[in-house]
Amino acid sequence: MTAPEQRKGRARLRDQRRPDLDSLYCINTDGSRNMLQVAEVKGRWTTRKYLFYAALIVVYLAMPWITIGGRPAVLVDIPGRAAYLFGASFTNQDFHLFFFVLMGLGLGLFVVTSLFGRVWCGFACPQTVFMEGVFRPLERLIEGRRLARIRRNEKGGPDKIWRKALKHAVYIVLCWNLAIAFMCYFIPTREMLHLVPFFAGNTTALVWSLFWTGLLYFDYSWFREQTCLIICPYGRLQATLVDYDTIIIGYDPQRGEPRSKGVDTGGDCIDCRRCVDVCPTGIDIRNGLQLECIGCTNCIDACDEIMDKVGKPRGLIRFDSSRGFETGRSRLLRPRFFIYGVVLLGLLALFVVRAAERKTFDVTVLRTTGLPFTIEAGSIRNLYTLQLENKADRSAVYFVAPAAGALAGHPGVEFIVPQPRVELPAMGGAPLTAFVIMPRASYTGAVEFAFTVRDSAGGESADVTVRFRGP
Amino acid sequence: MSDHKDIPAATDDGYVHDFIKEHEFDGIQEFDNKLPNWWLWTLYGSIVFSLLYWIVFHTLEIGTLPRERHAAEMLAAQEAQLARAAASGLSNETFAMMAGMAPRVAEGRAIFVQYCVQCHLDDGRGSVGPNLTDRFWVHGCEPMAMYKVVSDGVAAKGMPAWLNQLGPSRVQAVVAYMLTIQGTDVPGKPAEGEPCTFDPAAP
Repeated sequence: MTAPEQRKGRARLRDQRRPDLDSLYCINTDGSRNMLQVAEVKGRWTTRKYLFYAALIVVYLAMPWITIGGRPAVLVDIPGRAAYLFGASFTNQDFHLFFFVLMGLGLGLFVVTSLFGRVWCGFACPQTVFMEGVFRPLERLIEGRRLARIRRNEKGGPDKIWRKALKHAVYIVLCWNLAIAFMCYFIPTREMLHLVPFFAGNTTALVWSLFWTGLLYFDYSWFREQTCLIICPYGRLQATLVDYDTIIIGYDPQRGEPRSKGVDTGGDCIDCRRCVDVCPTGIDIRNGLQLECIGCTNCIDACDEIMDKVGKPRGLIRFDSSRGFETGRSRLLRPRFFIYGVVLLGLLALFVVRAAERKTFDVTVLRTTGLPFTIEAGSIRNLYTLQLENKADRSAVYFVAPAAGALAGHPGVEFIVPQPRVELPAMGGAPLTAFVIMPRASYTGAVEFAFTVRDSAGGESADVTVRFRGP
Repeated sequence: MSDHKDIPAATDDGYVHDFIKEHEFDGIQEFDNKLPNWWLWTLYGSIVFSLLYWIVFHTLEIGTLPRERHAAEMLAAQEAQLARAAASGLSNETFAMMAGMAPRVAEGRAIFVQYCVQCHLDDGRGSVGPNLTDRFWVHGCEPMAMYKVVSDGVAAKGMPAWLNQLGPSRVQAVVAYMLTIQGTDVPGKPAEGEPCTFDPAAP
C-alpha cells in the first residue's frame, strides 16, 4: 500500500481498531481523539478502591482546614517564601531540604513499584482518584451505562444535548470547587473563606482559580487518560523499575490461551473483551504489561465476574509476578528492593539529621567586595557584614559578639560591633556590620576567628568563622 | 516485557493494527502512528505565538517587554518611597529647626554616645567612621542626605542601617545633633570626601 492510500484509509478504518502494543488506542489513526467509553465494573477490588478513594479525598480536602499552633498544618506561602508543614516552618534558606523531599518521594515510588508495580497510579494518584472516583461515576449517573452512552452519542438529539450540558455544568462547578480547595494549600483557608466566591480585591487569586478550574475541567472532561499516557513520566520509567518478580496486573496466557468462544474448548479466556471494555486507558491486558496500564484493577474484577459466570476459577487476570504467571512461584524480597530501600532509608536519615540541625536562625558572613582590608594609622582594619535571618515563626532578639577568646594571641585587637543587639521580626532578616582592628605589630598573617550569634528567644547560638586578612 | 507475538495478536482477526512504513534498514522498520491532533495544534499555536510575539515586541515594538515593565515598577516603587518621605513632613528645613531645639539635640547626643561613638568617637571626631565635625562629607552634607545615610546605612563602608533599630524619631534626633557638631572642626580623623556646598540659608 502506498502512503496516500494509507492516509485515505485511516478515517475509514477508525472503528476497526483494537488495542495493540504499537499505538495509543485513545488516539485514532487519523490523529483525532478516541473518547473511550469505559464500561462499569463491580467486584472486590473495585469496592476496596472506592473506599480508599473516599478516604483520600477526605484527606486532600480536610488537610488545609487543620491548624497547628495557629498556623495551617500544610501551607506553601509563595509570596512570603515560606512553607509550614505540621508545625514546622521552613524559609527559602531551608530550600535545600526540598531536595530530600523530592528524592524521598521518587525513591519511595521506586520501592513500591519494584514490589507491587503501579499501585500508586491506580489507588493514590489524585488524577485517578478524582477521575475514577468522582468524574467518571458522575458521567455514568448523568449519561448512563456504556452501551446507553454509545447509542445516545450516535443517535444525537435533545436527549444527548441536555445530558451533555448537565454533565459539563456539573463538571465546571466541581472543578471550580476543587481549584479553590487546592488553592487552600497556598492561601490560608481562613483567608480563602473571605475571598470566595468572587475574589473581590484579589485579582491574582481570581486568575489562578480560573486557571486551575480551566485546567481541571480540560483534564477531567476531555484529556483524561492522556495525562497518564502522554504527560506523566512515571509510566515511562515502569520498564526500568519492574522486573520478573514484581507483582503486576497480568493475564495468565498459559491458562487462557487459546482463546475460544466455547466454554468447553480451548483455554479459559472466552474472548468476551470485558477486560478491554472496562479499561480506563484503552488497552488489552492480554497483550502483557504495557506503559498504559495504571494498575486500576478494573480488568481483574471484570474477568473474575465472567469466570464466575462460566464456572471457571477466578484469577485469569490477577495480581502476580511474571515469574508467577510462568512458573507459579513468586519471590517478593530481592536485591532490587533492598538497594532501593537502603538508598531511601539513607536519604530519610540524612533528611532527619539535616532538619534537626536546622537552627531557628541563619548567619552568613560577607566580606565587603573589593575591600579585603584597610590600613589606617598603623592598624589593619577588616570589615564584615553578617547577614542574619530569623527563620522562626516569631520575632526574636539576637546578640552578636566575637567568640570567647577570638584573636586572643594578637595584642591590641579591637572589635567594633555597632549593633550588638538586634530584633528581627518573624521570618525577617537584616545585615549587621562588624569591624576588627589589629595593630600592624600584632599581625602575623591571615588568621581565623569566630563571631557568636545568640538567639535570646530560642537560647540557641551559632559560631560563624571568618578570616582576618592583612598585607 | 513479554513479546506480544507469543499471544495471538488482535491483527489475526482482520482488525487494523497500525501502519508500518515501507522502508527497512537492517531489518528495522518504522511505525507511522500519527501524532495526536491536539499535540500538533499546540505546536502550530506556539509557532504562531512566537511570530506574533516577535512582531509585537521586537518589530513594531508596541508591547512592553518584561525587562521594561520591571524597570517601570522599580521606578514607581522609588517614587512611592519619595512620596512617603515627603508625607512624613521631613525636609532640610525641619532638621534645621530641630537642630535649634535643645531637648531634641540632647536626646540625639545621648543616642550618639550610646550607639555611634564606637566608630565616630565622642564629639564625632571619627576613627573607623569619618570625622563628622569637619566641612568634608562623603555622602553629602544636606540634612536629608545625613538622614538617609543614618537610616539606611552604607553597607560597603560598614555604616549600619539604624532606622529599624532606633526608629524614625530617634534617627531624626541624631541628625539634629550632628547638625550642631558640623563645622566644629574637632581635631581627629583627616578630612574625607567633598567640601560641603550646601547653604541652609539659600532658598
